[in-house]
Amino acid sequence: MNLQKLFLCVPNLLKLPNRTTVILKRRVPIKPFRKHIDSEFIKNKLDPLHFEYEVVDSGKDKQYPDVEIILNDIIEDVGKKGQIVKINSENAYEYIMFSKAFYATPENIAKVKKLADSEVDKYSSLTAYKTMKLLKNRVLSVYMNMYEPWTIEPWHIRVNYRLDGIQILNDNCIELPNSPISGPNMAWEGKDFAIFITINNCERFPVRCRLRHYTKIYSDRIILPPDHFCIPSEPILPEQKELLDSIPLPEWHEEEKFS
Amino acid sequence: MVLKFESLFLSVRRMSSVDVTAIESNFNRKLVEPRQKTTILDCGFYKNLPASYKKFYLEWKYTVPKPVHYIPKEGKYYKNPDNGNIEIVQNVPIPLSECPQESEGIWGGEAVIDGFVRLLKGKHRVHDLGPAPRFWFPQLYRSVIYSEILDKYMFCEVTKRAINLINNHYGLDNYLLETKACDLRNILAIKLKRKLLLSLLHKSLYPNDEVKQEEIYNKYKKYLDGYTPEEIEWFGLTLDEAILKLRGIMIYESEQPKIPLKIKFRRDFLKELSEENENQSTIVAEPWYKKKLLSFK
Repeated sequence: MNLQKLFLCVPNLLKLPNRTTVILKRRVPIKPFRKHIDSEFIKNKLDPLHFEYEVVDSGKDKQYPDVEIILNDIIEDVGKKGQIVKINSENAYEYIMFSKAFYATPENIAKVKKLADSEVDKYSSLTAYKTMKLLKNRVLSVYMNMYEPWTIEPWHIRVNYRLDGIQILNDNCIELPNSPISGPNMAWEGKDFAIFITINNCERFPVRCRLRHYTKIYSDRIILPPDHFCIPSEPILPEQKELLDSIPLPEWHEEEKFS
Repeated sequence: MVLKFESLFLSVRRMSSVDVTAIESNFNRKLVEPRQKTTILDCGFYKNLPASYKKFYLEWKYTVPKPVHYIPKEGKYYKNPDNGNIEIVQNVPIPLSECPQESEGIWGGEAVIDGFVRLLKGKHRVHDLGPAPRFWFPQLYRSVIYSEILDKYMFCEVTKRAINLINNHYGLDNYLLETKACDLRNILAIKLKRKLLLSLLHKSLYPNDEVKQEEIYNKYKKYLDGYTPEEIEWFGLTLDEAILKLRGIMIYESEQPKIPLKIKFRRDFLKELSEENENQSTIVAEPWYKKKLLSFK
């Protein structure tokens, strides 16, 4: 049976109320017996008064200590391969079930140390994978002037990223297409072109950009639908058609519209 | 005279030393050692069960498990804050009740507790409404467990405590094989332990891959030291299952033809002689019957 299917039957742990073992105490303590304690003794010799309990710890706010594991693969926000980390015991158990990690026994530590020295890591830093995934999944809308002439330069893209909430520190990491794009040209409104971005001079990947025209005059502005970045469109440059087809468009969930 | 006195003195001392040790031993036995009690295994048809099963059953049902639902006091003696007397510390465990759902999961020693709560009401004057019945249940959720020896993913109900224990023992197999039956408590866990022990004993793990078989067999080999092969075969059976097994053995033995003891002893004696003959023929050239003849003198 597939392991993925098994875990799908499991309900979400975050929705369940978290509770550990209940710890109780007798309301009236038992007088000391000079006798060996057996299961028969407990059954026969206790009074009904000794079954009245008080709750010492309901176990609601209690948490078990963290567990040390060795990562077998890169995991977001946790670490990279061969690293020893301390995390929550339930998350650690789930990683071990999917063989993304091992228990940090002394035998396993000795095994992994040899591996870590020989192998080279895939990514340049811990957050590189996460930022790459974030930038790949979104479409950058490049807002340009509707009336004054321009040609696209790296700082245009830096500013448009800043509008989107992402700050790029250096312009050298932005790589524009070879043939220049200049306007204003209303035939290119809502059409795509691709740029390349590099992280730490190591990871290089394409990003989809969509051209938009913008003015200060409110009556001339183009009003966009909320799912404008999910609608498929044509490329500005015919050279980049194959590249743009390889980049997937993000999905739009209609439930999120009015939430 | 002197010699006599010395001898007397010595004898008295010897007597006294013997008496004191005898008294001490009796005194300690009364305090510490339990009386030999009659259990269910000492009466009726259960008497015929083998000792290897009785050992398991006593471990499962008649031993006090580790504390789960209460915090035990430490030390031998303590001072009572009410009257200032010094009293012996004696931790009487909280009794746990059984339920049918227990057999479907691994709860890590937790169980249902049935007891009472004393209800007290009122701000200025306290009204005692008497004891009210109350149940405390463990919280369960569904999860997946993996055993390395069986190479199998299984789906069952667990508690948070069980998963914490599995993590502390570095895996399910280590957890099941290290803990006693009274602490496991659930029948599913005990049955799993039985399967693990049997597969280790018969070496039936990973039948297709020989390299992996030896790697994992050497990893878990140390747990077989605590058991004999006969104990493993009787491990993890309930009382009804054990009796069915015993009846089956008895029927099998009764159906087989009986060999008279005369023939049996003769066969054994001849076997011994042949072995001796083989051993002696290499070392000594004397005839084998010489020793036997000498022994009849």
